[in-house]
Amino acid sequence: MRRLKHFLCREKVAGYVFIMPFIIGLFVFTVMPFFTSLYLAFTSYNILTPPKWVGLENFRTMFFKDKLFWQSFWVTFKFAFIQVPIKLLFSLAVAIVLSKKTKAISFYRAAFYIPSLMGASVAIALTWQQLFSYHGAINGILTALGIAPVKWLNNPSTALGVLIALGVWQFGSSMLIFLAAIKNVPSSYHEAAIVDGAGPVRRFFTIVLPMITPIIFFNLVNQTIGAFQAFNSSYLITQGKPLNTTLYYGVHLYNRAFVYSEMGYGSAMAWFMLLVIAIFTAFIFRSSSAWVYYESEGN
Amino acid sequence: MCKKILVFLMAFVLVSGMVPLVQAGAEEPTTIRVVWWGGQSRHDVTVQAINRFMEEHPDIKVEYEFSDFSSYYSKLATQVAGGLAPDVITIGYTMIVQYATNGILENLKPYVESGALDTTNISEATLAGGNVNGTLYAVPCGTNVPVLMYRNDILEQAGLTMPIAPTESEYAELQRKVLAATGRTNGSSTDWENGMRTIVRSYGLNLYNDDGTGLGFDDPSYIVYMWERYLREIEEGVKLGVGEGTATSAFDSYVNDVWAGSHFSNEISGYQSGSNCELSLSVLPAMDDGTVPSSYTKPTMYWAISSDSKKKEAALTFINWVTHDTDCYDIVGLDRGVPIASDVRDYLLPDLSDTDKKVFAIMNYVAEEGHSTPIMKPDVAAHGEINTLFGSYFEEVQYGLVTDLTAHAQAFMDEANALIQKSITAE
Amino acid sequence: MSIATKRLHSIRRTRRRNTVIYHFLMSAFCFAMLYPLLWMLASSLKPNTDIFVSVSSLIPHPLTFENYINGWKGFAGISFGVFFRNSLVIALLHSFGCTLSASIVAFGFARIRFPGRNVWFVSMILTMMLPGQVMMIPRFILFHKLGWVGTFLPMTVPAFFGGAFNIFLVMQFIRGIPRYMDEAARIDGCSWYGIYFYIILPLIVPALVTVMVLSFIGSWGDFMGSLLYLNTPQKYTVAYALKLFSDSSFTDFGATFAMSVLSMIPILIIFFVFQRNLIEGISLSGVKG
Repeated sequence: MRRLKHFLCREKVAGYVFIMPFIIGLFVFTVMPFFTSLYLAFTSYNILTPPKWVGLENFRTMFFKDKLFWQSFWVTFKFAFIQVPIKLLFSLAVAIVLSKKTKAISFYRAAFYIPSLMGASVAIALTWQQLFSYHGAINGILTALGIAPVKWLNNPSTALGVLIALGVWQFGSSMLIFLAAIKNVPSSYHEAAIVDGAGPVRRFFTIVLPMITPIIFFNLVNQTIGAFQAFNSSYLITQGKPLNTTLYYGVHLYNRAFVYSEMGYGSAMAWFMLLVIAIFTAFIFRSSSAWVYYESEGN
Repeated sequence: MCKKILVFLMAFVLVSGMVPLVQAGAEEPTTIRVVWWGGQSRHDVTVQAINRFMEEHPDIKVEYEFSDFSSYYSKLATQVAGGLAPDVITIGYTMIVQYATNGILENLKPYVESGALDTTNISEATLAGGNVNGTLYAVPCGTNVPVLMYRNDILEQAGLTMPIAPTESEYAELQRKVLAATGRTNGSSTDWENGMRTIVRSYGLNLYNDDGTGLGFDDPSYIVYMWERYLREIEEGVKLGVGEGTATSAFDSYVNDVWAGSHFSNEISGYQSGSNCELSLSVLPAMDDGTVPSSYTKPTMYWAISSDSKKKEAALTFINWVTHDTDCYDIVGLDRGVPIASDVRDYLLPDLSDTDKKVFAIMNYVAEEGHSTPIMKPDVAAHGEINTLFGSYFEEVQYGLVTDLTAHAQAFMDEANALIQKSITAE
Repeated sequence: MSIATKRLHSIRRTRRRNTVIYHFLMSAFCFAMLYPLLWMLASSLKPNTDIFVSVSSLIPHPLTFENYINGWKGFAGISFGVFFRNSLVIALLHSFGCTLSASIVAFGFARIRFPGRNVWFVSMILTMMLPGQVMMIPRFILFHKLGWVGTFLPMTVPAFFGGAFNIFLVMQFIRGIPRYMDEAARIDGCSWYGIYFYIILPLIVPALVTVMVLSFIGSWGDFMGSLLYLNTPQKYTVAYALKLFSDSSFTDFGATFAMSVLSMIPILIIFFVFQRNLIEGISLSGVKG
C-alpha cells in the first residue's frame, strides 16, 4: 500500500492518473469510431448492405464530379471567415464596455448573454426565419422607416448574411469568457499603470489586451472550428437555399450520408473537412507564439 | 492527504466504470416495436389505437417510436444499420423499392398463402400496391388520391364554383378571377414528385420507365411546359414569387395567402385543423390536351415487417388488427387514408364526418371508370435525390438564370438518368 | 462663482450627459438583442391565427394562454412535463460529468510534466476538430453493442471522460495561475493530488462553474443526441419534442412558441443563479493575491 502510494505520487504516474479519464474516453468514444469512419471513407456503404471497398473513388467523385462539394466548401469558407472575426470583435467590444463598473451592468450583461443561451435550437431557427421572412418583423420595421422590404432569405446575396447575423447575435458565450478574462487582470497592474500616468485606452492596449490573449486564442480556435462544422442554422432555416448559397459543408455531408445513405462518401467528406480544419488550427497555433502571452510561462 | 485524494479519484473511476453495467433489463418475448412518421394528430390517434390493441391482446406488448417525416428515414436507416430494425416498419411509396431490394423487409407472400396475413375483403389490385418485383413486401395502410384542396368560401366570395374535375384552362381562369376578387393566389405544386407526375401521367407516361432503368419520357417539353406555366403565373400574379408568402408552413398558407393547392386526400383533416379553414376537394386539374386521366389511387403508406424480426407472428397479428379491426378505425379514422378492407369501409360509412364524406366522395369519383388510370410502379431508388435535383434546376428558373429552358430541362434529364444508372449499379 | 467651481459644474454636466447617452445606447442595443425573444414570447400569447397577421407587434391582442394549455398536453398522451424531466436528468448528469472530468484532466495537462504529455494534448485538440458527423454512425454502432440505445447513457456517460472543449477552457484558467504557488506547496511536501485538491481546485471554481453552466445549456439544447439514441416517446427530451412540434406541414406555431418559451426557463434560472459566481468569482479568485 505504501509502495502503491509512493508509485502513484511520482510525477510521471500522477500525470497519467489525472488524464486517465480522457485517455479511456479517447479510445472508446473517439479513436475506435474514428478508424471505423476512416475505413468507411474508402468504401461504398449504403448502411443497409455491408460496405464495399472502392479505393479512392469517393475522393475522385468529390473533387471532380460533385459540383455541390466545392459550392458547399466555398460557402462554409465564407461563413467562417466573415462570422468569426465579426463575432470576436463584437464580443470583445461588448465585454470591454461591460467591464466598466456602472449601474444596471448586470442587466445589460444578462440581456446580451441570453440569446446564446438558446443555441441554434428549433425555436430560435423558427423565430429567425419568421423575423427575416418577406412579411416578417424586420421588413415591417424597414417599411415603417420608409425602406423597401428585402427578401432576406430568398435573395442569393443576403441569405448567408442572415445566417451570419444569427451566429453573431449569439456572441454571448465568447463575450462572457472575455469579460471573465478582463476582470481577471489584477487591479494592482491597473493601479501601477495609473501611477505611471497611463490613460484607459493605453491601459487596455498595454495591460488588458496582452493579458487576455490566451482567451482570445481560445475563442478564436473554438469559434473557427465551430464555424467549419456549422450545421443547424442552414439545416433548420434555409435548407441550403437559395441556389445553394447557404449550403454549408456540414449540411451537404449530412444530405449525402443520411438522406441519400452514402455513408462511405459522407465519411470521405468528413475526412476532407477534418484535414482542412487541422490545417487552419495548426496555422492558428503556429502563429500563437507570436501573440499569445502566458503569465506563468512568461517569467 | 494523498490518500484522501486517491480515494476520491478511485471513487470517480469506479463510478464511471460501473455506469455501463446499468442496462435495460431483458425483453419480454412478445414485445414488438412499431415505428411511424407523422404529425401530432397521427401520433395521438395511433398511440390510442396501440393501447386498445394491447388491451385486446394481453400477450403482446407494443413499444412504439415515432418522429416527423424529415428525420424518419435517416433514423430508420441508422437503426437498421445497428441491427435494431423495428418489427413493424411504416414505409412510404418512394422508399419501398430500396428497402425491399436491400432485403430489409420480410417477403409477405408466404404469410398470405398460409393465411397468417389476413387478406379477406382486400381487393387484389389494392394489395398489389405493396408488390416489389412481383412479390408482396408490405401491406398498404390505406389509400388516397392526389387532390386539389381549395377554400370554397373564397370561391363563393368571388361568386365562382369549382368543377369536380377541372381542366388546366378552367383552373387558370378561376385563378385570374379569384385574384381579381380577393387577391388570393394558388399553391399548386411545381415539384418533380407531384407537379411533374400529374403532367406526364396525363399523356399516359410516368416519371420513370417500367423497368426502372431511366426516366419515363425523353421529351424535355413536358418539363418546359411546367416551368413556362410557372413563369406565366408569376407574371400574372396568380402565384406568389419565392418567399413572398406570409406563411412559414404549408397549412397556414390557407389562412392568408392561397385559396387552392395540390395535396393528397388524407391530408385534409390535418390541414383543416391546422388552418381552421373549411377546405373542399376536387380532382387535380387535367391537361387540356391530355390523352388519359392522370388521377390514380395510391397506397398512403405501408405496414411492413423487418426481415430480422424475431417476433413476426406478433407483428402479423398487429398488422391484421390495424388492417381489419373496426375498433382500430373507431380511433384512427381516415388518418392513414381510406381503409383497404371493404368491410371496414362499410362499417365507417354510416357515421362519417363531413370532412370524411368529402374524402370518400372524391375517392369514389376517382375510382369510377374513366376517371383514373392505374397507379405507376413504385418510384426508383434514386427518386428522392432526383426530386431534390429537380428542385435546384427549378430554382435556377425561378431566379431568372436560365435563358434556354429546353436545354436546361434536357440537362436535368441527363443528370437524372445518370443518377438512376448509378443507383442500379450500386445495388 | 469662481472659475474652479464653474469648471467642476461643467465636468459634472458632461459626465451626466455621457451617462445618459451611454444608458440610452445600451438600452437600445439591449432591446435590439432581445427583440427576437420578445417576439417569440408575444407570439406564444397570441391566438394561433394572429401570429403572422400582426407580425411585428410585441403586444398580443387579444392575449391568450390557450397555446400554453395546448402545448403542455404534448402529444400521444405524454405531457411536456415528461420531456422536461428527461431533459433535466440528462443535462444534470452531463454537466456534472463534464465539470468533474474537465477539472481533473485539465490539471494533469496544465501542471504535470510527464512523458507523452504533448502527444496526448495534441490528440485532445484533434478531437475538438473532429466533425461530429464523422462519429455519428460508428458511435451509434458502439452504443448499440453496449446495449445503450434507448437509454440516456449515450448522452451522459461520455461526459465523464472529459470533453476537449471543457478541458481546454479549464486548462487556460490553470495556466493563468502563477506556478510559484504549487512550487511552494511541492517544497512543503504536498503531492500532486494535494496540489490539485487544495490549491488549484479552489482557484478554478469560477472556471468550473462556467463549464458546468455551458455544458448544462449545451446538453439542454442538444436534439441530435435524442434524435439518434432515444426511441420511445416517454424518454424524449424537450429539444426533440419541440422538433416534433414543428413538423414540416402541420405545425402548431402558437404551441411551439409557448413550449419554446417554457424550454428557456430552466436555463434562464441557471443563468441568473450562477451569473454572480461566474463573473465575480473569477475576479475575486486567489490569482489576484
